[in-house]
Amino acid sequence: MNRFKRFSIVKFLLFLFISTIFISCYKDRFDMDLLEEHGEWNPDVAAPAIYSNLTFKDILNDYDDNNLFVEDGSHFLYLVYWNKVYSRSAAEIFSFAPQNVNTSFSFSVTGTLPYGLDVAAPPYTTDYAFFTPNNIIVDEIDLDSGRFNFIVNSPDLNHNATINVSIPSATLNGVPFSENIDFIAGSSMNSFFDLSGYKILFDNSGATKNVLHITYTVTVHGSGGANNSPYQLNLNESFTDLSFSKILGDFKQINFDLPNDSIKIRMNNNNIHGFIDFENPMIHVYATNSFGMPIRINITDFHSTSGWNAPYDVVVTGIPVPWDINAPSVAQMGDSVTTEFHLTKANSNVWDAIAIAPQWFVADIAGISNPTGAPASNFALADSRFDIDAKVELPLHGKAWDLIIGDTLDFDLGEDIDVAEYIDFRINTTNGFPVDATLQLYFMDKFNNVLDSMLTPQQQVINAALAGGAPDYLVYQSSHKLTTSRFEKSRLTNLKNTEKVFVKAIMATPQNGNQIVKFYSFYGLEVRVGVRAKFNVIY
Amino acid sequence: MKKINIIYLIITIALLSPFVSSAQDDMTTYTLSTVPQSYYENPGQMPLCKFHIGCLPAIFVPVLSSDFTSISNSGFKYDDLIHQRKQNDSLYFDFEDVSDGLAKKNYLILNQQFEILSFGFKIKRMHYVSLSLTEKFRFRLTYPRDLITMIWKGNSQFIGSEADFNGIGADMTHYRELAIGYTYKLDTKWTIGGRAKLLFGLSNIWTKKSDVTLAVDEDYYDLTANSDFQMYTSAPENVYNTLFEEDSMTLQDYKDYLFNFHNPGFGIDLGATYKIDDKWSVGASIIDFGYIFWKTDTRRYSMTDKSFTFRGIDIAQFIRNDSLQKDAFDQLVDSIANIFKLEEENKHYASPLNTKIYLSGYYNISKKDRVAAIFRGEIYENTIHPAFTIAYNRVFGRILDVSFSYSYMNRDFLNFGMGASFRFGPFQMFLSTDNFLAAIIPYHTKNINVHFGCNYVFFYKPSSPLLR
Repeated sequence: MNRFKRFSIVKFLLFLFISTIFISCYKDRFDMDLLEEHGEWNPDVAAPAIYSNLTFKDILNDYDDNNLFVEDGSHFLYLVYWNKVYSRSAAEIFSFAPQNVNTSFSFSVTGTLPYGLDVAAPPYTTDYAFFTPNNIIVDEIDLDSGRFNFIVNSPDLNHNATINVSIPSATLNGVPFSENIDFIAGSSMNSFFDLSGYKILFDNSGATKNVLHITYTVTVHGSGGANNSPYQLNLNESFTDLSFSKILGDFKQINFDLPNDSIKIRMNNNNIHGFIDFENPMIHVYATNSFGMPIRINITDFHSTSGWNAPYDVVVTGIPVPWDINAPSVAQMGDSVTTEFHLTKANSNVWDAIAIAPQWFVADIAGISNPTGAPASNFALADSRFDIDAKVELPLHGKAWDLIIGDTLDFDLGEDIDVAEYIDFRINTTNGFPVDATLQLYFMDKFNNVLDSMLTPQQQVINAALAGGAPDYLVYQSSHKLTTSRFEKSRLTNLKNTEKVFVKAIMATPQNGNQIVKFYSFYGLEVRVGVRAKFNVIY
Repeated sequence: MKKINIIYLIITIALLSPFVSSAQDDMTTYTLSTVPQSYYENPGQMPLCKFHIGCLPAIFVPVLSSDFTSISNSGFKYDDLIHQRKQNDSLYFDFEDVSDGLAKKNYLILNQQFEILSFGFKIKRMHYVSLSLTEKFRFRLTYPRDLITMIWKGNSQFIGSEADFNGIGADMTHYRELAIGYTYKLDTKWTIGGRAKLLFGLSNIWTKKSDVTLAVDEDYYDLTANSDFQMYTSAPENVYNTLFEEDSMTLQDYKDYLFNFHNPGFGIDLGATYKIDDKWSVGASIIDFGYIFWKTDTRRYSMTDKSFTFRGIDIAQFIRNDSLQKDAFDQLVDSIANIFKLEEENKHYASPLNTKIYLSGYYNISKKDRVAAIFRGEIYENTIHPAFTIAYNRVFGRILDVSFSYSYMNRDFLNFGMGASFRFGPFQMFLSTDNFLAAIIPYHTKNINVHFGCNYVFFYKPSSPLLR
């Protein structure tokens, strides 16, 4: 038993000894000062990057309100580009400058001028010919606003006086214009009268046109001083702030010139090269006139222009020369009258003009009013306008081939892109359009040097949907395509300086552009890009 | 300020820990039959003494007070996470070993208990009546393997499948237990017993439901997150503020917290032992079956059947604006936040206790030597979490009772335990652990627990200490 106890004690001590050694060893295992500051982390991460259902609007990048997709009852799409080629308002054409009349005359009164005695001098009439815009002949002008200003002085009139100003042909609600100016001897009198609402009839019976008769009658108020007649009176009158609500007269021949206005075809903004064969393109031109005067337009040049596709400029034919614009009659005063012409494949070469995928349509316009030159009775209201609008209508029906669309976008992958060991791109497209497309992304530095490209080699990432035959050419089955691309670390390092990405798509309708298709608003392209990347992060 | 408040809370918990006395979650103490509290694992065991009173030293001599602390991490060991280089002894993180060794669900568990008072007495050798007052604190963090491996290895491993985060969450309960026990020796073979427990909840976090997954689509790498989540909490406003806001608890707040009796609960322990013959005996028990009804400062955070699939950025916006708008990302984040927004409401609730089942068998080699085999199944998350122990127990006269044990627990086979109780007259002191290797190679263990306690035991019957 004693042996057993001794043996047990020895074992216990041995156990304690070993335990002590162990404890002294493991202290280092918990010493956080020994913990290395850096380590590696290698997560392998997968995530969706892009998910989009692109409509035709998205793909053509066209959102200007003036350029609209129009669909008919069957949802067939028309691409319509509107542009106001020419526009002039009445205020722009008929702007009346200030009229400086500057009447001076002398008058005499007879007898003595005791205090309290009023003596009238004989009336004096001045005939003032208005300067009119474009030298038009105005029979009547209804003023929306206007001022009749006076700065009256006399070097020798030694009595106070009242000057009556009357214009019998200027009436307000049928009452002729008649106003008095009180003159105080020895002073300069400023005075003005509001002409708003007055209707003024001009005297065009003589050789001088647009004549206005203004009569002045001076009544001298005796002050007891000497009668020093004749007296000189300077009126320094003028008409200012003239605007009208209506003009009647002979507007003669006014020129309307507008060189090189243009219609921008935004669809082809990013177009580099390619051919689109629209089955039935159309150009509609509308002139809207609410002036009471006929206008003749000459479209001296109308051509489509493409920066990339020969022959680069196509002069559009089939335009009416001259093009006479109708005007509203007096009975139609306040209304506008539209005159229009339409260019189609049947009456012009518009198909050729569209075939070069133009970025612009350019027009030179020259016009003249009252083209016959004969005396005319015209009218204009304050809100009268003359506009020319052009509409390029492209029914999305036809075929296209080698259509290259490109755009440059700002793009920054960041400085830490090379922490990735690799990046896998998984591009899924489900295409509802009857269009094949090859897509490429070029990564570029700030100097536009291409650093790398997304797909090596370039490949078709979008397969055309399957479409039926005429007349509807409806897609009956979408096409799916999976494209993968891997960027290894060496390529990623090369992309660190990427600041831009150039997206280039080469598109064609099926069968290399030989199949006619139609586009409907319910077509779409689903693009889904998933990214898987393995990182090597040093923390 | 917030850190200081959290430190206060930690200190509060730490201050409680020295009083922990008789938690019976450790297996080795269960085999120390001379310790009265060992019958807490099976109230169908008849204590050997006629009368005991526990923890008087804890009250009068705090330095000798008893303690039970248990920390376990079923997922990984320290040296799975931190390796030492042989070349220069430097340490480095290695999550590879951690992620490779994880189970589907893993648990970081902290238990602390202290017995404020206990006593028991035998009546006519057939009856034993006991009473105890115990403070209990339990914390469990559930972390799924897929979460850790996804953070470390990325989500590509789940392409075509889904990462399963089910069960993720935290559970914490701090409560006080007043237990009245009764053990009755039916005959020479059977002994049965039970303990009725009145519980007073102090604070609680209960993750009732946590079904969270993240699927990665095979073709598009779409990420689909699904969440069905419910978590309840009961914590006084000032405790909540102390933890999460810039606020601090006053002494009165601590008093209000510790003497809150508005969250009642009940529990029951039932057990029985059967003596087959002089050599063999078996026992079975169910412990801590019950609920606490939380009524004060309760909150329910829920997210019911929410799902969100991220399919990528809409390139159409890129085309329209020539650059991706910040708004697009903000809108994405906002929409995700709105979908997975936690709904908060005040709602009373009842949280279950961690019920345990014990099955035990004993073989008496001699009057002084005994071997035991014990199975413990702890029930939570609708799963039985098993632990097995085999132990050898020997008494040395009236003074010393020693146990050596080996256990499988918390997915770890390396648990060698030992325990001993010393008796000097009526004064008994005991110390045990299920894994003494934690003191030698702490970096290579998943389980650390220490159980220390003191009793006064009277009328101890030394003649047959192992035969009940």
